[in-house]
Amino acid sequence: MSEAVLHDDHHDHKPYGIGRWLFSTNHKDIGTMYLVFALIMFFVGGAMSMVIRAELFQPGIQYVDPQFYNSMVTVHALVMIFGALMPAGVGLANWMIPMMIGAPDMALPRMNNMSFWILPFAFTLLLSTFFMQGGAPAGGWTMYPPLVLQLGDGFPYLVFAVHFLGISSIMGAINIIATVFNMRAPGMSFMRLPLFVWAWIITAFLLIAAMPVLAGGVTMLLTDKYFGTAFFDAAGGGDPVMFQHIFWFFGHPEVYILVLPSFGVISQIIPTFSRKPLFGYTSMVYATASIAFLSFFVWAHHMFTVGMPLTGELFFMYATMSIAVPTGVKIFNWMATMWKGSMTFETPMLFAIGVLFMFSIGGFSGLMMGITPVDFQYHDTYFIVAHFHYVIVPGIIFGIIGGIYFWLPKWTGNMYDEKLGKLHFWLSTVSVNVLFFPMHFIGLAGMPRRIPDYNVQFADWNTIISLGGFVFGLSQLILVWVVIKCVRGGEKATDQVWEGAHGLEWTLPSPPPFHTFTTPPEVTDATAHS
Amino acid sequence: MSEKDQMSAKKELAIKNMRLAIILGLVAIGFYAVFIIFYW
Repeated sequence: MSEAVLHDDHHDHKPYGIGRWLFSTNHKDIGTMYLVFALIMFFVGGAMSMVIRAELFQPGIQYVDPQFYNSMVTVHALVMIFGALMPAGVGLANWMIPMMIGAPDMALPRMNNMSFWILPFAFTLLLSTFFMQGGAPAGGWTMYPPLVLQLGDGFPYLVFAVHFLGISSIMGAINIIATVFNMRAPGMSFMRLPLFVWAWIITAFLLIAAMPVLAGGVTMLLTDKYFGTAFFDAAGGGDPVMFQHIFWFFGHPEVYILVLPSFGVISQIIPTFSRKPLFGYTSMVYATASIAFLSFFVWAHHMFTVGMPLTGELFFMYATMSIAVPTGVKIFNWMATMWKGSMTFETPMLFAIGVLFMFSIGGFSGLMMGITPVDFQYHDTYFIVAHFHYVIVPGIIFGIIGGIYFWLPKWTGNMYDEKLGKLHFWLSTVSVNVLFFPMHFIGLAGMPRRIPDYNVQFADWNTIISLGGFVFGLSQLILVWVVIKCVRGGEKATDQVWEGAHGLEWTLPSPPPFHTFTTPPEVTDATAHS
Repeated sequence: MSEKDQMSAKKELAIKNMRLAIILGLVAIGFYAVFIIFYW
């Protein structure tokens, strides 16, 4: 244990009671709060998806009326994206970035507290719409006008919730950039940063560029409804299609805002369990930056069927295809890292390999949809639902879960139950494929998305899909049990935890003291990740 | 490093952090405002 760490131990004064959490400025506590909040929202959003799958278990209307079904579809997406995935990524960033770069805390700890506490407030606004005249938002998470303008009293709540979520994300992004730019330990140059940190710097810049666009778009919706403007009202000289452009100018980078932190996590896990340094570190950094840059030039592939000039279709098709190049570089590098490595398959590694395989399935179907003429067949069918769920669930959620298993022993000081972890992985992997793979078939056969009823020809696959969904949902309870069990005790974790782990965070005790690196460590090639 | 030097280094870092946060915040607010004004 280094002298600096021993020094930190003497200053390990933890505040107690509710005040510790309400007024916390400690990156570890705030990270924990983000992760717990994300987990709660994951189950709230998951419960909504269970309602959707129960309704679709058989053809015909079973349990809910179509309006409520549409609300379930809409709010499920909003809760999962803004409530579960983004906060989970920020939670991991809060916990790990200061420890990885040798900083004592985030650069702006009070703002860190504020950006977390905005979230419960924003989601109270959003979820309260279920109890309002006109119900919860039901026009899809994309909030397209004029449909979204028909929403009742819940509309301004939706708009303000989105604004607050945007403010929270931007404050979090600013904090991450300031932390990495200004608070790195001596010797921790940019090209020595762990890939997880790089992924988050790039994500943070994406957030700052993309979130204001969404906020601007929904502000214009608000003024259209209540203040007599006609940004998106054709009768007043506006253009409803313009909203789609605005939304997807935010929406496509948002996909990478979600996926890049997951890529960062598996870039830490794969070298650790392959017992080899990451292959092609520099190309990984440039590939991540290229993906982020290109993500601003592909938005209209979400709206090929709306109609656009042929040159526009061609531009967006080729731009979309070009993202496959840096993504391919990353996939190649992860595989090359494993190549001839001394691999072991603990739970984090299983989840990382799951990301590699199943994100690629989502990536390939994305390439198919990027081809303009065939997208006319796929558009608004279950093929799209299959595609983005492959990207989000095994591509992003598996990455986050892998990160939780990877760092849980470091956070708690105890090893988790490996058998339960593996059971969680295999149940999740089998069920997620039963859940989402057949959606490709019914989508290609023409089953439309966002409709609570369907033709009887799709009945068998929908029953199977729903069963997969229920098993996947239930199997996530294993994660909760593993985390609770690990927090309460278990075999003690060493400081390094994993044999192949390298980097500053693994030089700290497990669990790390409340304050770490108050005296900055000296980073050398031996202690740096790369 | 003396305690006085440490305090001044901490203060300098805090100013640097605040300056960067303000710049990035203004960039975000700028995107938002310019965007709406552009479509006005």
